[in-house]
Amino acid sequence: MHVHEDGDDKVVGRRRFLVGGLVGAGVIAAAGAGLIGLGGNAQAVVLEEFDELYKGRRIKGWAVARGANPQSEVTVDGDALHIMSNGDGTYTTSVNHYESFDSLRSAARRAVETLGDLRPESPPTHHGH
Amino acid sequence: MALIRKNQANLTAAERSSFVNAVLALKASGRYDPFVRLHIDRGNGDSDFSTRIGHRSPSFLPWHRKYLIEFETALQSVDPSVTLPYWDWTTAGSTSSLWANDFMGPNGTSTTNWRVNVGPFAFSTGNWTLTVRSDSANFLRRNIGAGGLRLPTAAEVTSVLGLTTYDTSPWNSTSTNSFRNYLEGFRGPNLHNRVHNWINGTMAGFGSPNDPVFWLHHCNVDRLWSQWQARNPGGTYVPAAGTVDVVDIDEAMNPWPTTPRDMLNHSSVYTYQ
Repeated sequence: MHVHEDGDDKVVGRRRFLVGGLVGAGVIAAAGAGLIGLGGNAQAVVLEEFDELYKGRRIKGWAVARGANPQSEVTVDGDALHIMSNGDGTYTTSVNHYESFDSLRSAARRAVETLGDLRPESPPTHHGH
Repeated sequence: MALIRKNQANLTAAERSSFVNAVLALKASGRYDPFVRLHIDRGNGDSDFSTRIGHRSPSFLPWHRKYLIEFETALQSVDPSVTLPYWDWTTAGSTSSLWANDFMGPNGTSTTNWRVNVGPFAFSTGNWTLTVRSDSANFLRRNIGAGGLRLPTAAEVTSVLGLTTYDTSPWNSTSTNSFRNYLEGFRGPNLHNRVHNWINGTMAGFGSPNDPVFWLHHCNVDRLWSQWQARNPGGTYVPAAGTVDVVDIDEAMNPWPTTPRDMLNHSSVYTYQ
């Protein structure tokens, strides 16, 4: 997936900045999409963005639609939580790998409930989605 | 001669002990953790939108059949008397001897963030430290029945076994009227996925094989597939050929050269008692 060709930190940082700045508009025009590497003529639509304290943990996340497969990031106290987008628009995480959630926020909240005081750890490899 | 896989509820005390000791021996020799690594890597790579092999796809069942055979072969190298037991969730719940201190060990405790504190796989034994994982817990966790979840019932299992089509397009977690997807649990009454969630803790995440009950759970999933195959001799694995991102019947299932067709008849390798 081309969004992972750069160093993850840099890409995530740029996207978070841009998405954060445009979330009120709801839609990122093609020119903006190009800046964050979404490419082509596709319009990227902000599906969700949140930043909240839940059960004592800081959860932040965003999801942007680009074609069928949304791009998304979630962190729990700054640690990346691995997110999968499902074919019906729901989300699954590495902490609750056998559950689907209607929103990224509910996926993040459920991960916090399951983790307790633990941290998510990112897999060393990332391929396919 | 084919191995015989038994219901865990019918194992003798000696058989329970042999199974536990063989699992602990694999862990001690470093041969257990690569199985966890394999599952995490496969799960991480399976997507509704791209390649999907181990989960959310037709090859969910033959991939895990191969995975279980590999693990059973490893157990056999330690103790040739050991085979994989299966856990019938419709008859063995939270009070089952499955969770006794001489077998899988009990539920975790809330005061220790659901750490399992006794039994052969408790962290305190020094024999069961989680090193390959998707969260910071180096100890086994269970939060059985979290959120009021219940195990699948016999009626729910029967309803899924009654589906006559192995799988349907688009061959992922959204497939409807698909025996595979309803057994996996993304649609229908939710069988396999729900059992992972019912145990919760370690079993809820990518690193679920870190809980040895994973093998008994998946052995039951495999047994149900075997029952379905017997009831549907004409309902073979699909898709047959040319399917993007999905393993067709004669294509290899990463990381093995094994194809779904290779896994259809297990009777020369093992049978269910």
